[in-house]
Amino acid sequence: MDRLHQYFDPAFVWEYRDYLIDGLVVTLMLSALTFAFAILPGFIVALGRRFGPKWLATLLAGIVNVLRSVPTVLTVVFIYLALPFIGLTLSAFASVLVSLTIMQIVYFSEVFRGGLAAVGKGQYEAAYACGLSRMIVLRKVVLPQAALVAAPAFASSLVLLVQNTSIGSAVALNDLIGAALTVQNISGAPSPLVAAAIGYLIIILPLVRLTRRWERSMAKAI
Amino acid sequence: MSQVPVLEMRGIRKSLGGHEVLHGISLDVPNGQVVAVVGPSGGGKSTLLRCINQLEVPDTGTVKLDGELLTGATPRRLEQMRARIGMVFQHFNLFPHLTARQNVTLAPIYALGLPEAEANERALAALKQVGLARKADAYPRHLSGGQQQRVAIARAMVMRPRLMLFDEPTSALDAEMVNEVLQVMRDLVAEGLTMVVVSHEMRFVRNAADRILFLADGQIVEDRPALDFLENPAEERSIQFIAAIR
Amino acid sequence: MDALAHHFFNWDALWRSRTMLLQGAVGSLQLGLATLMFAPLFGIVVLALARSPWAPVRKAAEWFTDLMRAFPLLVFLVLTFYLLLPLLNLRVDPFIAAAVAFSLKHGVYFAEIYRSAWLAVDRGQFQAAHSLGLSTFRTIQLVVVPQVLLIVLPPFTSQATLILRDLPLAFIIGYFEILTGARAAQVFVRNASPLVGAIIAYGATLILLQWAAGRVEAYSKRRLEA
Repeated sequence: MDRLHQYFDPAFVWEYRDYLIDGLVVTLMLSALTFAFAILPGFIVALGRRFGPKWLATLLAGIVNVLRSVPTVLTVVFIYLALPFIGLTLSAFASVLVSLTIMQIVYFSEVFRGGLAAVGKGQYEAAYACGLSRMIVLRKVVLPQAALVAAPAFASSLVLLVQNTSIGSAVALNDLIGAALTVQNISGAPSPLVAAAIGYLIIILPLVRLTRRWERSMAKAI
Repeated sequence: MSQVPVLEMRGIRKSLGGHEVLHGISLDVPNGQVVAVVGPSGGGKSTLLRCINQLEVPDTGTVKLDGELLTGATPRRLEQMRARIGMVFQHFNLFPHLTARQNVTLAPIYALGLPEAEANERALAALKQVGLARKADAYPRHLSGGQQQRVAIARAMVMRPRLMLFDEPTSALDAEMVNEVLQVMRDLVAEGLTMVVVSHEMRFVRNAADRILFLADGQIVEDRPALDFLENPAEERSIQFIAAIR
Repeated sequence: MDALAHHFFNWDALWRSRTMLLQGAVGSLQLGLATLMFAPLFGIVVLALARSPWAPVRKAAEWFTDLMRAFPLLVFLVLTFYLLLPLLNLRVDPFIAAAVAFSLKHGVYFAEIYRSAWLAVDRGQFQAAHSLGLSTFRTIQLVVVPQVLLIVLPPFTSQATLILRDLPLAFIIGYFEILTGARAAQVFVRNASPLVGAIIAYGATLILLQWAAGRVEAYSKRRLEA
C-alpha cells in the first residue's frame, strides 16, 4: 500500500493541480481545434476521391499515401525545429496543431471514403431511375448509408485524434502529459504521471467504448 | 390517327469494356404493349433496358419517350423524364435505411414535389396494390426477397409511370417467391401498363407478353408476337434457345 | 530555393551526422524487431485469456484491451518507464521500457487480428475435413492453420507498418532511436538536413512497406480463392 502511495499521492497531485489543469485545457483545445479544422477538408477529400475526375482522385490518393507514411511526431518536430531555419517559426502549439490537422484530414478522408465505398452502384441506379436529382440522391440515399457504415471507423479516428495530441510533449508543449512530465521533473515524483494517465483515460475510454458499441451494432445490422 | 409510340429506340449501339454489346438496336413500343426481351446470357438484354432510362448512355442512337428525346437531354429534363419511367431491378435495390413506406414516398416527395401527406397516401395505396400495406413500416432487411421486390414495384408504380422496365425481376428470388411477384406483374399487365420485361420466366412470357424480342449477340434476332415466336420460331438460334429452356 | 537546399538538403551536414543517424537507425531497428517478436506473442496470450472459460479472466482481458486501445502510446511509454518497470522491480532501461510498452499496446491489436482470422475460416471446412476422415487435430494442422496464416498475412503487414510508424515516439523516454539521433545531429551540425534525411528515409521505408503490403494482400487473396 505504501508503495502504491509512493506512486499515486493525491495530495501531491492536488498541490500541482494548476499545472495539470492547464495541461488538460491545452489537450482539450488542441483536440477541439484539430477536429474543427480537419472535418470539412477530410470530407471534401473523400468526395474528391470518390466522385472527382480521375486525375484528381489519383493526385489525392498519392498525397494521402505519402502523408500516411510519415510518423506524425516527425512532422511536428520538423515544423517546430527545422522550419525556423528558413525563417518560418511556429510556436509549439501551432506546430502540433498544423501537423495534427493534416494527419487528421488524412484519417477522416479515409473513414469517409470507406463509408462511401460501401454504398453499392445499385443504390445510385435505383435512386436515379426514380428521377431524383444528384443532390437528393447524395443527401437522402447515399450519405445516410455511408454514415452508418463509417460510424465505427469515425469513432476510432476520434480516439486517434485525442491520442495524437500527446505528441506535443515531444516539442515541450504543455499538454496534459507534457505538464505532468514537467512536474515530474521538478519534483521527481511519478504521481502527476498517473494523474495525467487517468485524465487521458477519462477522455478516451468512453470513445473506445463507443467504437466498440458501434462496431457491434454494425455487425448486427449487416 | 397514328399515335406516338411510348418508347422509340433508333440505332442504339453500346460498348462495354472495349467490346460492343449492342450492335444497332431499333424498336418502337406502342402504348399498352407488353414486350418481353429474351435470349441467352450476355446477349445485351440488361444493357438494352438500361439504355432506355440512360443508366447506360448509348454510344450512338436515340431513345425517345412519348416522342421526347431522352438521349442528350439536360440533367433536369432527364430527371423529369425518368420520373415517368419506372424500373425494377434484379436485386431489388431498396434503400436499406428507409422503411418500405419511406422507400415509396422518397421519389414522390423529392422528384414530384408532392407534400408529405399526399405522398404517404399514394404510397399506402401502392403498397396495398402489391399486397404489402401491413408491412409499410418494416425495413427491407425484415422482408423476404419476394416482399422486397413487391415494395420495389410499388416504389416504381407510385410515380404513375408511362413505361415500366423490369430487369430480370425474379432471377434473384427463391422459387416459392417468384409467383407472388409474377402475380403483381400480371395485375399491372391487366391495367394496360406499357412494359418492357427482361426475363427467363417463360410462363409469364407465354401468358402475359404481347410481343417477344429475341436478343442474341447484341442484335434483335426475332421480333414477333409472343405466341407466334413460341410456337414457330423462325431462326436457328431461337429454336436452340427455346429447346434449351424447355 | 538556395536557402532550402542549404538548410534541408545539405549533403555535407548529412555526411557529418552519419554516425548519429546510423546509431539512431540501429536503435529504431532493434526496437522494431523486438516489438515484431513480442507483440504477436503477447497477442496470443491476450486471445487465450479472452477465450478463457472463466468469466472474470475474460472480463479482465476485455478491460485490458480497452485500456491499451485508449492510452496514447506516448503516455503509455512514459507510464511504463516511470511506473511499471520500478513497480515490477525490473531494471529501468529505455529499451526495455519501450519494448514492453510497444509490445503490450500493439499486442492487443494482434489479438484482434487473430480473432478475426479465426472467425473468417469457413465452418464448412471442418465439416468437409471430417467427412474425409481427418481427425480434429489433423484438420487444424492441415486445413485450418495454413488458411489462418494466409488470412493474417495482410493485417499482419499493416500492423507492422503501424509499429514502424510509432517507433520514433520512444525518444520521449530517452531511447536513442532515429529521431533522437536526428535531433542530436541537428544541434551538432546546426543544420536541419539530418532531420529531413530521417523523414525521407522513414517515408521511403513506409511507402515500400505499403507497396509490399499490397502485394501480400493480392497474394493472400489469390491463394485463398477456392
